[in-house]
Amino acid sequence: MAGKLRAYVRLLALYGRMDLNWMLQDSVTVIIILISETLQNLSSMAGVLLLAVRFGGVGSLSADEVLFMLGFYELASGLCFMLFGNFNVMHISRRLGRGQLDHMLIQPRPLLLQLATEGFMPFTGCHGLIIGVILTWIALARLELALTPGWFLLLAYYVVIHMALQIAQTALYGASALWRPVACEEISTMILDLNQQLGKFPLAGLQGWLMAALHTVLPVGLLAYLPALALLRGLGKGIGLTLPLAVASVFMAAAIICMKKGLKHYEIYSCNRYKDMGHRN
Amino acid sequence: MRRYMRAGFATMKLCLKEKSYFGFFNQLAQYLLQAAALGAMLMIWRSLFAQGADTQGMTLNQLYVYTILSTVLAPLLNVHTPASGWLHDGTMLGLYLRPSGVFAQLAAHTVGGWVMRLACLSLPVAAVAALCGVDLRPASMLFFVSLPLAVAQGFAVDYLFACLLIRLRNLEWCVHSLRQALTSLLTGSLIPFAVLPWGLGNVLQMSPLGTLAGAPLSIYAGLAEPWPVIAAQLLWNAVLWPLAVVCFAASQERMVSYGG
Repeated sequence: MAGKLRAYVRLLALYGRMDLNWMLQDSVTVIIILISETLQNLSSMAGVLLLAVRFGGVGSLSADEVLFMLGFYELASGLCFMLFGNFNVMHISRRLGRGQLDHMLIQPRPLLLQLATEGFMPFTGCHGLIIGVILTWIALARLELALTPGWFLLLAYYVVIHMALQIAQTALYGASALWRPVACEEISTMILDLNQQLGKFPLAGLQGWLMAALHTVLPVGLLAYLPALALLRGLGKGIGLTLPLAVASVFMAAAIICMKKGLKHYEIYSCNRYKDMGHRN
Repeated sequence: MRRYMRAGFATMKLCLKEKSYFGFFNQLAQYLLQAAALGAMLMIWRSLFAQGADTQGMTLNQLYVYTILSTVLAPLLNVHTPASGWLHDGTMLGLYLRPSGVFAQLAAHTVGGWVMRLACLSLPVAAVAALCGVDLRPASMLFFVSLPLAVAQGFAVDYLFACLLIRLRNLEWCVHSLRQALTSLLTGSLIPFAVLPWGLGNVLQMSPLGTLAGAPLSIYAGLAEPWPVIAAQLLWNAVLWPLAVVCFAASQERMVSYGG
């Protein structure tokens, strides 16, 4: 166990150093990328926020509460992106569908360890996290909320749930690329885009069945809306605490089962999409 | 003329076929994603009206029409030619080997790509909306003047982004992010300018990006006076097209491709 942990930390440090090297060697490119991605992050939130400002809130949330919800989403998804965003680890269906799993299978490291570490980009991938922290901080200051150690623990809990849901969903749906490499190459992108689009909406006012669906089958409500209610209005007890964990666990278990089955299929049929000249068909 | 038309239709067909390369499932998932985003936006409008927000005379039907039409006509309101992707993967170079202009080929390919989406997503969405009681009739017939102007301007803007991509040494993802950031809010495709706070909408409505999606949609939904908006569209077409042609000509020698 200690050996595995050491290997994990060593690999994280390695990928962190590689990320720093890239930033130092091609600073202009990195700066352009950081600016454009920061703008994209901000503009994706601006719509809901502007509506909240214009109408004094959306659904049952006030403008400041909407700002907190958006900040939480950015914080959690930014952390997820920083840990798993590089080399298409989050967009796992691309790696699987393009037949790039072979590149990993020949490495002298377990597959899981590679996936857990190679997406790490602490320098070029931290912009979402920074934006999230700033927005959350501003919202908290405006809301004048009493912050306790228990509140921060709850915040950490919902951040972990958010990350687990994003990773589990991308892996669950992405596993289909092991069977249908071309058709499902971009399926992880689609599910992440869906989360990105719907996860930032205050869902209050929806019909009951739709609300239930958006908190279980398609759990976009658990990414920011429910956590925001829990952290701001004390819903972090009972179902507000257990439902996210239960849903995340179910998705995680389903992802593991589907990945294992898919890998068995891949061992037999493989996926060769590269031509001799190096281009992909 | 007939030869050019035939070449144009052949390119459109080529693109239509290419859209199915990734399979029907892929295509369907993309449409479902867009339909889900539309649903979310409609829910927001409904909840805003339910909470009794002061919408300054705008009706719920107007906002519904605006939002539904922004999905139904999305590819026409935010024109995406394959230029950026083709610059990155090298396909662009092949266009110079064909006996037709590069702009014309890109335009024909883009129009071909609209067909499947309009048939599989736009028509069903419009039909469902009408069945659900949304009054989809246009507030002004000048919409049919504004829409072609918006499409023409969209092509010019897309070519300018392609030039930017060439200048930025093929940083496709970066230009994509930048474009997403600018177009999602500044074109008015997501939120009508009329509901933006602090009078932002009045400024954006006349801007080069604001006259893309915001112009025809606002005219259709009756959220803006048609003539000033159309005048702004004419102006920006007159400015952006020559700029796009000059920039593209100047950028051609700088094209670099990775392939693969």
